[in-house]
Amino acid sequence: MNPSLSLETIRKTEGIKRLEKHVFELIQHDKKLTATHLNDESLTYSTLYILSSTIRENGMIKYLSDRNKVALAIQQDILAKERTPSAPFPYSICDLPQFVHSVLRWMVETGSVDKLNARYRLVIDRSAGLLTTIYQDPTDIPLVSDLLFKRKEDDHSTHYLTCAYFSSRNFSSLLPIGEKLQSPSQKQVAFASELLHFVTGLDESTDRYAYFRSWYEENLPYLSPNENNYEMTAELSPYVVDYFAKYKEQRSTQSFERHEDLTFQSLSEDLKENLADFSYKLRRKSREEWKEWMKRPLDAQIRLIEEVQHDHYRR
Amino acid sequence: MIIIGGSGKQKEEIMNAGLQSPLEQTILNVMYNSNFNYSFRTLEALFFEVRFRVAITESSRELYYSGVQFADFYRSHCNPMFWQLLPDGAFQLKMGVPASEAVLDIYRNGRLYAFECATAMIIILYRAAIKMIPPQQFNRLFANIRLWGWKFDQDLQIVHNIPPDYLPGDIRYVKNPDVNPLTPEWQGENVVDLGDGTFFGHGLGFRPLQGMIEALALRRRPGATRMPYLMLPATRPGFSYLYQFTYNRTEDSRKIILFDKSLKRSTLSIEDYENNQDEFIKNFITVRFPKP
Repeated sequence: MNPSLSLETIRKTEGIKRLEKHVFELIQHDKKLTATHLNDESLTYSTLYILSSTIRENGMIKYLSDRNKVALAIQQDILAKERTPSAPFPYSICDLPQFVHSVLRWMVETGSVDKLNARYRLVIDRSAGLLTTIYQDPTDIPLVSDLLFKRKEDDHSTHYLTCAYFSSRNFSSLLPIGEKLQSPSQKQVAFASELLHFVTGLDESTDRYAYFRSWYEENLPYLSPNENNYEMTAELSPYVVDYFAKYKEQRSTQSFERHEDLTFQSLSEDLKENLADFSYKLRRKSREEWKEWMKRPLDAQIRLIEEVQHDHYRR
Repeated sequence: MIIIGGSGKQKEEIMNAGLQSPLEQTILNVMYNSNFNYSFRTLEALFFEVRFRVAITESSRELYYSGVQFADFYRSHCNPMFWQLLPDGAFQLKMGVPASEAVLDIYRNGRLYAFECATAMIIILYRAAIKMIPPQQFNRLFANIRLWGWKFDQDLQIVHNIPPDYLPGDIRYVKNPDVNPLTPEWQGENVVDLGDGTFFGHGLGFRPLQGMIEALALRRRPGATRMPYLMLPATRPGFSYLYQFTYNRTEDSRKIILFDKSLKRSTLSIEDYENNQDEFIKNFITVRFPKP
């Protein structure tokens, strides 16, 4: 036993079993030295997870840093067999919300590389879910997006993580997914396309990334969260373009409420999309022309679109 | 309103023709009293949908009593004799195993299985299809099934929309918008409308709608402000599509087609074929069952 070796080095060079044996012997030899190793800034969450039983069985919890204590409490909470009805958090999430946030971030940042087992994946995925659902910090989005693509790469379930990712209700969560359309990995491109399936025309485009960027810039002001749910359909559409808002140039609200008038509401989805796109392009070209067009009755507006499209195709 | 072969039918006429049970009559009443025109090519096609819906409710009850457990995708498990558990928690039908036997095993050996509520709904639909479609047809249609949420086999032809009426056997969804992020498997519950004012949800059992809402409300995050609610869309299998795979086909379409060495085609009845099966196999290049 070499007490000066870091726990990370032992795990990476000699494996999990050797690490557990080393820590057990170190505890018998010097508890304070063991605590120093465990509380090291460079320790990863995966190493703490591997050692969690040894730590508990040897009464080492009281020697741990706050970061490690909170991480183990979160881990225990996530792995608890019975949660409902609404078990209270065993750690003081209300007293120290920012601290818990930083611990969760540390767990996901340093723990997502290792696979270990299904229980471990569950802890990491749920922690990522807490980040996007409770804290909703935009700086966590790339971290969770990377984890999502890693899970897909390894053929593991992405179901709950996808739901948690989009429950941040932050439209910019689409950007890291769009970036993956440029990935050299075909699997990543396919997964990004699957997640962005609600972007009309994406699959048919020759340069998917360029198409996505232009779609995002055009539709961002009119996006709204979708009530649809992954548990209910085979494909998730987390956000939808509010065609009425795009048509009228209204900023979309974050709520589920729509302010469509009845005539617009009665149109087919294709026609709504057509009207919204035309309206957007016309006002970009000439605001005066757009104002004139908007003054016309809806059927006259549709006729003009048909005429323009007819001319376009004839050319 | 019910239209059969292009013309309206009296309710009594339909009931007398073979729909007797209270649940069948409930379904028929909703269709009959609706402003929407429920059109069927034949009376048998109407019976098929009504009985399929009843089979969905029966399959829900049977699933509950089979002893299957609720589990998220990390903790799903299945009988390895019939299914391969994939890393993402999906069950893949094993090579050479008839799909109907594998689905029935879930009901026979329920304690060996644990899965999520959306997967449960697909299993219920498959079980109901087995009740309605001959096993050989079922095994041909669903030869390579994978059970995982709503990633359904295309041959169920699932329809998901806001229907003109809600009918027993519909699958509905109770959404839990403020679910506790530590238990995302309770972000909503797929439920089967049992037609008696109660619903079945895998993991929550049989409850009226309010009971489902209350059970999900207990699974919300601390400080939640939104209550769970029933969403408007309903999910149904493609009844008219699946109907073509039933026994109830004309005698002609049930005939066996034979090809001799010069590829000359002839047909004969199943009974005649079965009486001389060895002879036919010896003397004909191809013996195939007609496509339904």
